[in-house]
Amino acid sequence: MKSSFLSQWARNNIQTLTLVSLLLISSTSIYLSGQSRLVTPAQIGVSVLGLGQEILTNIYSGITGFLGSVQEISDLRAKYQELQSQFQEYQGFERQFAELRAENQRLREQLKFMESQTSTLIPAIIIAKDPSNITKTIIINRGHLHGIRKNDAIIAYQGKDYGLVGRVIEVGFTSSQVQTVLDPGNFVAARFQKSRYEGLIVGLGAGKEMMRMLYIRKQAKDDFQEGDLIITSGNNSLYPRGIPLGRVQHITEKMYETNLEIDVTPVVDFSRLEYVFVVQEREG
Amino acid sequence: MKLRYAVYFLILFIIFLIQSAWIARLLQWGSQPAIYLIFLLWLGYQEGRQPTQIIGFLSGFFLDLLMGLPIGISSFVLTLFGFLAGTAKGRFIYDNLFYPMVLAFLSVIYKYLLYHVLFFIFQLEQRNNIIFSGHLVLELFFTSLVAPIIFILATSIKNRFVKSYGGFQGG
Repeated sequence: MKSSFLSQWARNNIQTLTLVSLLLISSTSIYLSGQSRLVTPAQIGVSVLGLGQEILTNIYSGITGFLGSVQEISDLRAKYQELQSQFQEYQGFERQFAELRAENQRLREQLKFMESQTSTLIPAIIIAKDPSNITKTIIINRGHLHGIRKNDAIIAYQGKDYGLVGRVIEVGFTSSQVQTVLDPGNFVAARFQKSRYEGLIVGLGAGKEMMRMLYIRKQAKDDFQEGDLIITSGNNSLYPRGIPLGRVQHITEKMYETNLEIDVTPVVDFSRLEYVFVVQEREG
Repeated sequence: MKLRYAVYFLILFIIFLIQSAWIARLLQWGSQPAIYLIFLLWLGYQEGRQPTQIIGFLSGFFLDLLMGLPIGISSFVLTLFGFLAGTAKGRFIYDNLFYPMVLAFLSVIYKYLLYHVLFFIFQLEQRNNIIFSGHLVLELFFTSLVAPIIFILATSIKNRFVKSYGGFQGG
Protein backbone atom coordinates (compact mmCIF):
# COMPACT_ATOMS: atom_id res chain seq x y z
CA MET A 1 0.00 0.00 0.00
CA LYS A 2 2.73 2.36 1.06
CA SER A 3 5.01 1.39 -1.81
CA SER A 4 2.26 1.82 -4.37
CA PHE A 5 1.58 5.33 -2.98
CA LEU A 6 5.27 6.21 -3.30
CA SER A 7 5.48 4.83 -6.82
CA GLN A 8 2.36 6.77 -7.74
CA TRP A 9 3.85 9.94 -6.28
CA ALA A 10 7.12 9.33 -8.11
CA ARG A 11 5.28 8.88 -11.39
CA ASN A 12 3.41 12.10 -10.84
CA ASN A 13 6.56 14.02 -9.97
CA ILE A 14 8.98 12.39 -12.31
CA GLN A 15 10.23 15.71 -13.66
CA THR A 16 10.95 17.11 -10.21
CA LEU A 17 12.63 13.91 -9.14
CA THR A 18 14.76 13.92 -12.25
CA LEU A 19 15.70 17.50 -11.61
CA VAL A 20 16.66 16.84 -7.99
CA SER A 21 18.61 13.76 -9.00
CA LEU A 22 20.51 15.53 -11.73
CA LEU A 23 21.28 18.48 -9.49
CA LEU A 24 22.50 16.14 -6.77
CA ILE A 25 24.73 14.35 -9.27
CA SER A 26 26.05 17.65 -10.48
CA SER A 27 26.69 18.91 -6.95
CA THR A 28 28.47 15.74 -5.97
CA SER A 29 30.56 15.95 -9.11
CA ILE A 30 31.53 19.50 -8.32
CA TYR A 31 32.44 18.59 -4.77
CA LEU A 32 34.54 15.66 -5.86
CA SER A 33 36.12 16.97 -9.01
CA GLY A 34 37.10 20.41 -7.81
CA GLN A 35 38.52 19.18 -4.48
CA SER A 36 36.37 21.88 -3.04
CA ARG A 37 34.98 22.29 0.42
CA LEU A 38 31.45 23.38 1.04
CA VAL A 39 30.68 26.76 2.37
CA THR A 40 30.08 26.83 6.11
CA PRO A 41 26.94 28.29 7.75
CA ALA A 42 29.16 31.01 9.22
CA GLN A 43 30.29 31.98 5.76
CA ILE A 44 26.70 32.12 4.56
CA GLY A 45 25.80 34.25 7.55
CA VAL A 46 28.69 36.57 6.94
CA SER A 47 27.78 36.76 3.29
CA VAL A 48 24.11 37.50 3.89
CA LEU A 49 24.99 40.01 6.60
CA GLY A 50 27.69 41.47 4.41
CA LEU A 51 25.26 41.78 1.54
CA GLY A 52 22.76 43.64 3.74
CA GLN A 53 25.50 45.86 5.11
CA GLU A 54 26.75 46.54 1.63
CA ILE A 55 23.28 47.48 0.43
CA LEU A 56 22.78 49.83 3.39
CA THR A 57 26.24 51.28 2.97
CA ASN A 58 25.60 51.83 -0.73
CA ILE A 59 22.31 53.57 0.02
CA TYR A 60 24.01 55.77 2.62
CA SER A 61 26.92 56.46 0.26
CA GLY A 62 24.48 57.22 -2.53
CA ILE A 63 22.55 59.75 -0.46
CA THR A 64 25.63 61.44 1.00
CA GLY A 65 27.31 61.30 -2.39
CA PHE A 66 24.31 62.94 -4.01
CA LEU A 67 24.13 65.68 -1.40
CA GLY A 68 27.88 66.10 -1.58
CA SER A 69 27.69 66.29 -5.36
CA VAL A 70 25.12 69.08 -5.18
CA GLN A 71 27.41 71.05 -2.86
CA GLU A 72 30.36 70.16 -5.03
CA ILE A 73 28.60 71.39 -8.16
CA SER A 74 27.82 74.66 -6.41
CA ASP A 75 31.46 75.00 -5.32
CA LEU A 76 32.68 74.09 -8.76
CA ARG A 77 30.41 76.67 -10.36
CA ALA A 78 31.75 79.37 -8.05
CA LYS A 79 35.29 78.20 -8.72
CA TYR A 80 34.61 78.14 -12.45
CA GLN A 81 33.32 81.72 -12.42
CA GLU A 82 36.29 82.83 -10.38
CA LEU A 83 38.68 81.14 -12.77
CA GLN A 84 36.83 82.54 -15.75
CA SER A 85 37.16 86.09 -14.44
CA GLN A 86 40.82 85.42 -13.68
CA PHE A 87 41.30 84.07 -17.14
CA GLN A 88 39.72 87.14 -18.70
CA GLU A 89 41.94 89.31 -16.54
CA TYR A 90 45.01 87.40 -17.71
CA GLN A 91 43.86 87.68 -21.29
CA GLY A 92 43.69 91.44 -20.79
CA PHE A 93 47.19 91.38 -19.30
CA GLU A 94 48.44 89.38 -22.22
CA ARG A 95 46.98 91.79 -24.74
CA GLN A 96 48.38 94.70 -22.75
CA PHE A 97 51.76 93.03 -22.62
CA ALA A 98 51.78 92.43 -26.35
CA GLU A 99 50.79 96.02 -26.95
CA LEU A 100 53.52 97.28 -24.63
CA ARG A 101 56.10 95.10 -26.26
CA ALA A 102 55.14 96.38 -29.72
CA GLU A 103 55.16 99.94 -28.45
CA ASN A 104 58.54 99.41 -26.88
CA GLN A 105 59.88 98.16 -30.17
CA ARG A 106 58.50 101.15 -32.03
CA LEU A 107 59.94 103.57 -29.48
CA ARG A 108 63.36 101.93 -29.71
CA GLU A 109 63.31 102.46 -33.46
CA GLN A 110 62.29 106.07 -32.98
CA LEU A 111 65.07 106.60 -30.45
CA LYS A 112 67.64 105.07 -32.72
CA PHE A 113 66.54 107.32 -35.55
CA MET A 114 66.59 110.39 -33.30
CA GLU A 115 70.12 109.72 -32.17
CA SER A 116 71.30 109.40 -35.77
CA GLN A 117 70.09 112.90 -36.76
CA THR A 118 72.16 116.09 -36.63
CA SER A 119 69.14 118.33 -36.07
CA THR A 120 67.46 118.64 -32.71
CA LEU A 121 64.47 116.33 -32.72
CA ILE A 122 61.72 116.60 -30.15
CA PRO A 123 59.70 113.38 -30.01
CA ALA A 124 55.93 113.74 -29.89
CA ILE A 125 52.86 111.58 -29.98
CA ILE A 126 49.86 112.29 -32.13
CA ILE A 127 47.00 112.82 -29.72
CA ALA A 128 44.29 113.81 -32.19
CA LYS A 129 43.45 113.88 -35.85
CA ASP A 130 40.95 116.04 -37.61
CA PRO A 131 37.82 113.90 -37.44
CA SER A 132 36.21 115.67 -40.39
CA ASN A 133 39.08 114.68 -42.71
CA ILE A 134 38.76 118.04 -44.39
CA THR A 135 41.82 119.96 -43.22
CA LYS A 136 44.30 117.09 -42.78
CA THR A 137 45.62 118.48 -39.54
CA ILE A 138 46.82 116.60 -36.50
CA ILE A 139 47.46 117.49 -32.86
CA ILE A 140 50.67 116.50 -31.09
CA ASN A 141 51.37 116.38 -27.37
CA ARG A 142 54.18 118.89 -27.42
CA GLY A 143 53.75 122.68 -27.17
CA HIS A 144 55.28 125.89 -25.97
CA LEU A 145 56.36 124.25 -22.75
CA HIS A 146 58.54 121.86 -24.74
CA GLY A 147 60.06 124.55 -26.91
CA ILE A 148 57.87 124.04 -29.95
CA ARG A 149 57.66 127.01 -32.27
CA LYS A 150 55.30 127.90 -35.06
CA ASN A 151 56.38 126.57 -38.49
CA ASP A 152 58.64 123.89 -37.00
CA ALA A 153 58.86 120.96 -39.39
CA ILE A 154 57.43 117.63 -38.38
CA ILE A 155 58.95 114.39 -39.59
CA ALA A 156 58.23 110.75 -38.90
CA TYR A 157 60.29 107.59 -38.94
CA GLN A 158 58.54 104.47 -40.18
CA GLY A 159 60.27 101.19 -40.75
CA LYS A 160 63.56 102.17 -42.32
CA ASP A 161 62.47 105.42 -43.92
CA TYR A 162 61.65 108.83 -42.64
CA GLY A 163 59.73 111.59 -44.30
CA LEU A 164 58.08 114.94 -43.91
CA VAL A 165 54.76 115.01 -42.10
CA GLY A 166 54.02 118.73 -42.10
CA ARG A 167 54.59 121.89 -40.07
CA VAL A 168 53.37 123.39 -36.83
CA ILE A 169 50.72 126.00 -37.51
CA GLU A 170 49.49 126.66 -33.97
CA VAL A 171 51.37 126.22 -30.70
CA GLY A 172 49.47 125.61 -27.50
CA PHE A 173 50.95 125.38 -24.02
CA THR A 174 51.36 121.61 -24.05
CA SER A 175 50.11 120.71 -27.53
CA SER A 176 50.44 121.89 -31.09
CA GLN A 177 48.45 121.77 -34.28
CA VAL A 178 50.21 120.40 -37.32
CA GLN A 179 49.25 120.96 -40.90
CA THR A 180 50.27 117.87 -42.83
CA VAL A 181 51.66 117.80 -46.33
CA LEU A 182 48.40 116.18 -47.43
CA ASP A 183 46.50 119.38 -46.62
CA PRO A 184 45.59 121.35 -49.78
CA GLY A 185 46.65 124.56 -48.04
CA ASN A 186 50.18 123.37 -47.39
CA PHE A 187 52.78 124.16 -50.04
CA VAL A 188 56.26 122.70 -49.74
CA ALA A 189 59.24 123.71 -51.85
CA ALA A 190 60.56 120.44 -53.25
CA ARG A 191 62.92 118.93 -55.79
CA PHE A 192 63.75 115.63 -57.40
CA GLN A 193 66.57 113.99 -55.55
CA LYS A 194 68.31 112.81 -58.74
CA SER A 195 67.44 115.29 -61.46
CA ARG A 196 67.25 118.24 -59.05
CA TYR A 197 64.27 119.83 -60.79
CA GLU A 198 62.37 122.05 -58.40
CA GLY A 199 58.66 122.54 -57.88
CA LEU A 200 55.97 122.87 -55.27
CA ILE A 201 54.26 120.01 -53.50
CA VAL A 202 50.67 120.45 -52.41
CA GLY A 203 48.31 118.01 -50.73
CA LEU A 204 45.21 116.80 -52.55
CA GLY A 205 43.13 116.96 -49.38
CA ALA A 206 40.03 115.14 -48.32
CA GLY A 207 39.94 111.40 -48.85
CA LYS A 208 43.21 111.24 -50.79
CA GLU A 209 46.51 110.37 -49.21
CA MET A 210 48.27 111.88 -52.19
CA MET A 211 50.21 114.99 -53.09
CA ARG A 212 50.84 116.74 -56.38
CA MET A 213 54.03 118.37 -57.61
CA LEU A 214 53.48 121.54 -59.60
CA TYR A 215 55.54 123.82 -61.78
CA ILE A 216 57.75 121.19 -63.41
CA ARG A 217 58.16 122.10 -67.03
CA LYS A 218 57.31 119.67 -69.81
CA GLN A 219 60.86 119.69 -71.11
CA ALA A 220 62.03 117.98 -67.95
CA LYS A 221 59.84 114.90 -68.31
CA ASP A 222 62.58 112.73 -69.76
CA ASP A 223 64.80 113.34 -66.77
CA PHE A 224 62.69 111.56 -64.19
CA GLN A 225 60.34 108.64 -63.96
CA GLU A 226 57.83 106.98 -61.73
CA GLY A 227 59.28 105.93 -58.39
CA ASP A 228 61.80 108.78 -58.20
CA LEU A 229 62.22 110.33 -54.77
CA ILE A 230 61.21 113.92 -54.10
CA ILE A 231 62.76 115.78 -51.19
CA THR A 232 62.38 119.20 -49.61
CA SER A 233 64.49 121.85 -51.31
CA GLY A 234 64.66 124.19 -48.32
CA ASN A 235 64.08 127.19 -50.52
CA ASN A 236 61.12 128.67 -48.68
CA SER A 237 63.05 128.22 -45.41
CA LEU A 238 60.06 126.66 -43.71
CA TYR A 239 61.45 123.16 -43.99
CA PRO A 240 65.01 121.94 -43.67
CA ARG A 241 66.42 120.73 -46.94
CA GLY A 242 66.77 117.10 -47.92
CA ILE A 243 63.81 115.62 -46.08
CA PRO A 244 62.10 112.92 -48.17
CA LEU A 245 58.58 113.84 -49.22
CA GLY A 246 57.35 111.15 -51.54
CA ARG A 247 57.82 109.21 -54.71
CA VAL A 248 56.48 109.87 -58.20
CA GLN A 249 53.46 107.75 -58.83
CA HIS A 250 52.02 109.12 -62.05
CA ILE A 251 52.99 111.84 -64.57
CA THR A 252 50.30 113.67 -66.56
CA GLU A 253 51.07 115.83 -69.54
CA LYS A 254 48.22 118.08 -70.69
CA MET A 255 48.25 119.64 -74.14
CA TYR A 256 47.10 123.06 -72.97
CA GLU A 257 49.44 123.23 -69.98
CA THR A 258 53.08 124.21 -70.02
CA ASN A 259 53.80 122.23 -66.86
CA LEU A 260 53.43 118.62 -65.92
CA GLU A 261 51.12 117.27 -63.22
CA ILE A 262 52.99 114.80 -61.11
CA ASP A 263 51.11 112.73 -58.54
CA VAL A 264 53.25 111.89 -55.57
CA THR A 265 52.79 109.17 -52.96
CA PRO A 266 54.01 110.34 -49.56
CA VAL A 267 56.90 108.48 -47.97
CA VAL A 268 55.04 108.52 -44.68
CA ASP A 269 52.05 106.24 -44.28
CA PHE A 270 49.67 108.63 -42.58
CA SER A 271 47.12 105.92 -41.79
CA ARG A 272 49.44 104.31 -39.24
CA LEU A 273 51.19 107.36 -37.96
CA GLU A 274 51.65 107.42 -34.17
CA TYR A 275 54.95 109.08 -33.32
CA VAL A 276 56.53 112.12 -34.91
CA PHE A 277 59.53 114.37 -34.35
CA VAL A 278 59.54 118.12 -34.26
CA VAL A 279 62.65 119.27 -36.12
CA GLN A 280 64.55 122.26 -34.83
CA GLU A 281 67.69 123.35 -36.64
CA ARG A 282 70.59 123.69 -34.25
CA GLU A 283 71.70 127.28 -34.01
CA GLY A 284 75.26 128.11 -34.89
CA MET B 1 12.18 9.66 -28.19
CA LYS B 2 15.73 8.62 -27.43
CA LEU B 3 16.69 9.40 -31.01
CA ARG B 4 15.19 12.86 -30.73
CA TYR B 5 17.17 13.53 -27.58
CA ALA B 6 20.27 12.29 -29.32
CA VAL B 7 19.68 14.65 -32.25
CA TYR B 8 19.12 17.59 -29.92
CA PHE B 9 22.22 16.71 -27.98
CA LEU B 10 24.13 16.43 -31.23
CA ILE B 11 22.91 19.84 -32.29
CA LEU B 12 23.98 21.27 -28.96
CA PHE B 13 27.35 19.59 -29.34
CA ILE B 14 27.76 21.21 -32.76
CA ILE B 15 26.72 24.55 -31.27
CA PHE B 16 29.42 24.23 -28.61
CA LEU B 17 31.98 23.48 -31.26
CA ILE B 18 30.90 26.31 -33.52
CA GLN B 19 30.76 28.71 -30.61
CA SER B 20 34.17 27.79 -29.22
CA ALA B 21 35.93 27.40 -32.56
CA TRP B 22 34.43 30.01 -34.85
CA ILE B 23 32.42 32.63 -33.07
CA ALA B 24 35.01 33.15 -30.37
CA ARG B 25 37.51 33.95 -33.11
CA LEU B 26 35.17 36.01 -35.23
CA LEU B 27 34.10 38.26 -32.40
CA GLN B 28 37.19 39.84 -30.96
CA TRP B 29 35.45 41.79 -28.20
CA GLY B 30 36.06 39.10 -25.58
CA SER B 31 32.41 38.17 -25.47
CA GLN B 32 30.05 36.15 -27.61
CA PRO B 33 26.39 35.24 -27.73
CA ALA B 34 25.40 32.24 -25.57
CA ILE B 35 23.87 30.30 -28.45
CA TYR B 36 23.57 27.05 -26.47
CA LEU B 37 21.40 28.88 -23.94
CA ILE B 38 19.16 30.17 -26.69
CA PHE B 39 18.89 26.69 -28.12
CA LEU B 40 17.97 25.26 -24.71
CA LEU B 41 15.36 27.99 -24.38
CA TRP B 42 13.87 27.01 -27.68
CA LEU B 43 14.09 23.35 -26.75
CA GLY B 44 12.32 24.00 -23.46
CA TYR B 45 9.45 25.64 -25.23
CA GLN B 46 9.26 22.83 -27.77
CA GLU B 47 9.80 19.78 -25.59
CA GLY B 48 9.01 20.69 -22.02
CA ARG B 49 10.87 20.16 -18.77
CA GLN B 50 11.94 16.55 -18.76
CA PRO B 51 13.84 16.28 -22.04
CA THR B 52 15.29 19.76 -21.75
CA GLN B 53 16.69 19.26 -18.27
CA ILE B 54 18.23 15.94 -19.28
CA ILE B 55 19.80 17.46 -22.37
CA GLY B 56 20.86 20.42 -20.24
CA PHE B 57 22.52 18.04 -17.79
CA LEU B 58 24.36 16.15 -20.49
CA SER B 59 25.43 19.19 -22.40
CA GLY B 60 26.53 20.88 -19.17
CA PHE B 61 28.63 17.84 -18.37
CA PHE B 62 30.12 18.02 -21.81
CA LEU B 63 30.72 21.77 -21.45
CA ASP B 64 32.61 21.24 -18.21
CA LEU B 65 34.87 18.74 -19.92
CA LEU B 66 35.34 20.99 -22.89
CA MET B 67 36.12 24.12 -20.91
CA GLY B 68 38.02 22.56 -18.05
CA LEU B 69 35.51 23.70 -15.47
CA PRO B 70 34.90 21.72 -12.25
CA ILE B 71 32.85 18.75 -13.39
CA GLY B 72 29.21 19.24 -12.56
CA ILE B 73 29.02 22.98 -12.32
CA SER B 74 27.68 23.56 -15.83
CA SER B 75 25.53 20.44 -15.45
CA PHE B 76 23.92 22.02 -12.43
CA VAL B 77 23.39 25.34 -14.19
CA LEU B 78 22.02 23.88 -17.40
CA THR B 79 19.89 21.23 -15.72
CA LEU B 80 18.08 23.86 -13.72
CA PHE B 81 17.96 26.07 -16.77
CA GLY B 82 16.43 23.27 -18.84
CA PHE B 83 13.85 22.66 -16.16
CA LEU B 84 12.92 26.34 -16.03
CA ALA B 85 12.94 26.70 -19.81
CA GLY B 86 10.69 23.66 -20.13
CA THR B 87 8.13 25.30 -17.88
CA ALA B 88 7.28 27.59 -20.78
CA LYS B 89 5.90 24.75 -22.91
CA GLY B 90 2.22 25.09 -23.53
CA ARG B 91 1.88 28.08 -21.25
CA PHE B 92 1.91 30.84 -23.82
CA ILE B 93 2.35 31.51 -27.49
CA TYR B 94 5.63 33.14 -28.34
CA ASP B 95 6.50 35.50 -31.11
CA ASN B 96 9.78 35.25 -32.95
CA LEU B 97 11.22 38.52 -31.76
CA PHE B 98 10.20 39.77 -28.36
CA TYR B 99 9.99 36.47 -26.49
CA PRO B 100 13.40 35.16 -27.54
CA MET B 101 15.11 38.47 -26.91
CA VAL B 102 13.74 39.01 -23.43
CA LEU B 103 14.23 35.41 -22.31
CA ALA B 104 17.72 35.27 -23.77
CA PHE B 105 18.57 38.44 -21.89
CA LEU B 106 17.30 36.97 -18.62
CA SER B 107 19.02 33.65 -19.33
CA VAL B 108 22.45 35.24 -19.49
CA ILE B 109 21.87 36.99 -16.17
CA TYR B 110 20.65 33.71 -14.66
CA LYS B 111 23.68 31.86 -15.94
CA TYR B 112 26.21 34.21 -14.39
CA LEU B 113 24.34 34.56 -11.14
CA LEU B 114 24.07 30.82 -10.68
CA TYR B 115 27.69 30.24 -11.62
CA HIS B 116 28.75 32.76 -9.01
CA VAL B 117 26.51 31.26 -6.37
CA LEU B 118 27.91 27.82 -7.05
CA PHE B 119 31.44 29.08 -7.02
CA PHE B 120 30.70 30.59 -3.66
CA ILE B 121 28.91 27.56 -2.20
CA PHE B 122 31.59 25.15 -3.28
CA GLN B 123 34.32 27.63 -2.46
CA LEU B 124 35.84 27.36 -5.87
CA GLU B 125 38.43 29.73 -7.11
CA GLN B 126 36.85 32.19 -9.49
CA ARG B 127 38.88 32.65 -12.61
CA ASN B 128 37.37 35.94 -13.63
CA ASN B 129 34.63 38.05 -12.21
CA ILE B 130 32.53 38.68 -15.25
CA ILE B 131 29.54 40.14 -13.43
CA PHE B 132 29.45 43.94 -13.46
CA SER B 133 31.97 43.99 -16.26
CA GLY B 134 31.73 45.08 -19.87
CA HIS B 135 31.79 41.45 -20.98
CA LEU B 136 28.43 40.78 -19.42
CA VAL B 137 26.90 43.78 -21.15
CA LEU B 138 28.30 42.63 -24.48
CA GLU B 139 27.09 39.08 -23.97
CA LEU B 140 23.64 40.34 -23.01
CA PHE B 141 23.57 42.45 -26.13
CA PHE B 142 24.82 39.76 -28.51
CA THR B 143 22.65 37.02 -27.06
CA SER B 144 19.50 39.14 -27.22
CA LEU B 145 20.35 40.09 -30.76
CA VAL B 146 20.99 36.55 -31.95
CA ALA B 147 18.09 34.90 -30.07
CA PRO B 148 15.34 35.60 -32.64
CA ILE B 149 17.54 34.28 -35.44
CA ILE B 150 18.26 31.04 -33.58
CA PHE B 151 14.59 30.59 -32.77
CA ILE B 152 13.55 31.08 -36.37
CA LEU B 153 16.33 28.85 -37.63
CA ALA B 154 15.66 26.05 -35.15
CA THR B 155 11.92 26.11 -35.80
CA SER B 156 12.51 26.11 -39.53
CA ILE B 157 14.89 23.14 -39.33
CA LYS B 158 12.51 21.24 -37.15
CA ASN B 159 9.56 21.89 -39.47
CA ARG B 160 11.46 21.06 -42.62
CA PHE B 161 13.60 18.08 -41.71
CA VAL B 162 12.71 16.54 -38.42
CA LYS B 163 9.03 16.15 -39.15
CA SER B 164 9.78 14.27 -42.32
CA TYR B 165 11.22 11.41 -40.30
CA GLY B 166 8.45 9.62 -38.57
CA GLY B 167 10.83 7.71 -36.36
CA PHE B 168 12.47 10.83 -35.18
CA GLN B 169 9.11 12.35 -34.34
CA GLY B 170 8.07 9.37 -32.40
CA GLY B 171 7.90 9.83 -28.69
